[in-house]
Amino acid sequence: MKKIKIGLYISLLIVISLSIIGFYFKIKDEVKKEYIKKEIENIERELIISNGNKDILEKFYKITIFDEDGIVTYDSLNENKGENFLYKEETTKGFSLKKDADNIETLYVVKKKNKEYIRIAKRFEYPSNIFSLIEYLIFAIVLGGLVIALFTETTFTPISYIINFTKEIEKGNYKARITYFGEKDIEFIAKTLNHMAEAIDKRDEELKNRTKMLTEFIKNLPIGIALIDRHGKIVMCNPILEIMTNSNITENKYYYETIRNSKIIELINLSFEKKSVNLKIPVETNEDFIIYNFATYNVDGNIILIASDITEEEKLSRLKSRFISDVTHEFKTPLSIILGYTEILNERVSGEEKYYVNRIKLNIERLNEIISDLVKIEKIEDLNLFASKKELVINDIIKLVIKDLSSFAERKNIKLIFEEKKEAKIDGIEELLYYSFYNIVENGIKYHDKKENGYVRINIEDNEETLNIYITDNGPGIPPNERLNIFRRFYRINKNRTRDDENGGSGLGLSIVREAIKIHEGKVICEENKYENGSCFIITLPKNRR
Amino acid sequence: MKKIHLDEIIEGLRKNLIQMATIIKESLDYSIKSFFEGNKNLAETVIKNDSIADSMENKLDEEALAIFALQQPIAIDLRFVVMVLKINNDLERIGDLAVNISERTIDLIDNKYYNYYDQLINFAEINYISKVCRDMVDLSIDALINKDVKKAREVIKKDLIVDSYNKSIILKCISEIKNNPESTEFFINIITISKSLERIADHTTNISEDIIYMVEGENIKHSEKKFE
Repeated sequence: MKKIKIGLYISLLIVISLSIIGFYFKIKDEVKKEYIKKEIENIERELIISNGNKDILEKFYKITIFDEDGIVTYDSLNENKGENFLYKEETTKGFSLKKDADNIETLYVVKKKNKEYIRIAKRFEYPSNIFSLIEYLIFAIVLGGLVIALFTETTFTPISYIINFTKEIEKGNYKARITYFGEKDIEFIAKTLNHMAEAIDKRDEELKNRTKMLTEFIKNLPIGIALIDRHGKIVMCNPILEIMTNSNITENKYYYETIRNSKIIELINLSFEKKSVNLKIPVETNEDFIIYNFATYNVDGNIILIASDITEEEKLSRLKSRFISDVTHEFKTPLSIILGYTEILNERVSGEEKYYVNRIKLNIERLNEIISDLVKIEKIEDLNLFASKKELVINDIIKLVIKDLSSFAERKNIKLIFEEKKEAKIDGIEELLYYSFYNIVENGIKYHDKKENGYVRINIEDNEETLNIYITDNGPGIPPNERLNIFRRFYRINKNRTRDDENGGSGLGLSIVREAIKIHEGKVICEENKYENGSCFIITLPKNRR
Repeated sequence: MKKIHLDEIIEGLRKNLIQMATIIKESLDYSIKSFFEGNKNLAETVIKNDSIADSMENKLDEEALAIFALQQPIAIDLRFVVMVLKINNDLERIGDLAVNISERTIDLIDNKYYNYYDQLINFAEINYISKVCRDMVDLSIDALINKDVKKAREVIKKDLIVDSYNKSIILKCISEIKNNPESTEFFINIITISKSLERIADHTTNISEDIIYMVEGENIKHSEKKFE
């Protein structure tokens, strides 16, 4: 600001001084001309008075007389003889101002009288009052300077107020106002800025209130929350999370610096690569155990970590599991006893009674199957929590499935084809994958309706990131609107639950398959056979990155 | 190829080092806890999780060497990468010692030596030494994260306490063995655990010295200065 002020001041001063100096030289010139004119008049007057008498003139001036040819006839100092004076400046113009032999500025005036010229030379001196102009000049410049200083001061004082005001605003002090307005345009600007500051202040207050409310809200949430930016720094977290992770979490630090739990760090590492991850961590306290569920969501590269206490849910679900496993276990023994006696009964009876006994037997078998499937589901949930993944060769598992199902397929006259290419490996739980393939192939055989040329074909497609397993058959196929439903628990396309043919099943098979594949972070979908009537199940398994 | 700044690579290395330190700290915590509670499951978890620490060590070594080869770090970066290599080694050793403690614990449980465990009430030292050890590991990790020389020096000072505790435990065990020779195996296990803890303290001291070297550029190993 000061710089601008001084710069403006100096430049204005320079402009004014220059114009004053220019004016001075102009005036000086004019004055000189006037003076010369006056001198010439004086000399002429004296010439008239003396009537050309050289003796009188010689008393005051140096004179030279020359004739019409320019030849000097008289010179008071006896100089300039032999020089032609006819073409000199003073002769043609009447006068001239130039330096003489002694280098003194001299005014020459030439007058013609009769047939000769008289040249009078007079020392020329500037009138002293011309030089006093310089004092005026200095005075003018000083005065100008003062005026400019006054002008700049009045212009810049309000601007400096405005600048101080903007500095305050920049610091975040929205309460700052301009107290000195100045005049006209600047007054308008200053007042507008004040209004602006008022509006900003109001908004700021609102924002602060809202932020405060939000922080309070987040701090008092019953769940733990942390926000991690794309560089891994914790932007925000709440105290509950600190209790849950059992570490002092400091904001504005890297998550791996403050969260002292390798599992959660690993979880966040993973979620930087993927969309969202879930992790259950049991924490033991003095008497009880608490289970926290840590979920992360990747939102445009930023991570939101949410931790919640799921002890109650977990306890309930464990209770449920125990109930189911207890019930199924308790059911199994009486059922197998009933089955045994029914088989004995079946051998002993005949006719219409045999038909009834047969139906009893079939339904007991179905019940048995449902129970074993329920046990399987429980087992999968257990495996999800406790089993660890190993490297498996998919080809071997599929070969085992085909071997185990070959007799069943032969009975229905269906070919099992495995188009083996190269060995495909994946990290997984063998039991679950075996069951998944087994179930789908078994379904393919079970529901097959062709008497001839029936087949179930298995292909493996080994991609860079995923492993796709296609299980295709040319059976009756599944209608498009049922293709999602078949994975639901206890869902059957044919609603007739009392069916007693050999196709009876629990309706749990495919839902178990879906769960099993989900544990491998893959998916299973049902499509139609592209080449003929039939269905095609596609199992997609992602290859583990590490 | 995407150009990555050296700072980012160094930060990545630092992240993995801290993660390694966290894993090691957890396994030490679990092993000490399993010993005091006689929890075989926990002890087995420690042994199983050691493979994670091992793979982490290899990964860190590779990364650090890659930085040497590809980036040619200088000044503080160079000291940092050298420090990572050294600390990595120490951390891995601490992990192994934690596994050692867990193995001893399993041995104690399997052979039903925990009957003698009641006698440990007289052994307040084993409680103290494990506490000091955990504190030292915590402090040295804090020092590592915050480049806090003060905390690192604190760790070095604590090493003396651990040494004295260890000595007194060994002396007590010897006298106990003399009194009832049938419990020899139990007390030998205790001595082994105590020695493991003492070794852990030594390794944390090494880590702290490396941290001081990295921050201040001054090597205080094997000098009288280190207890200042």
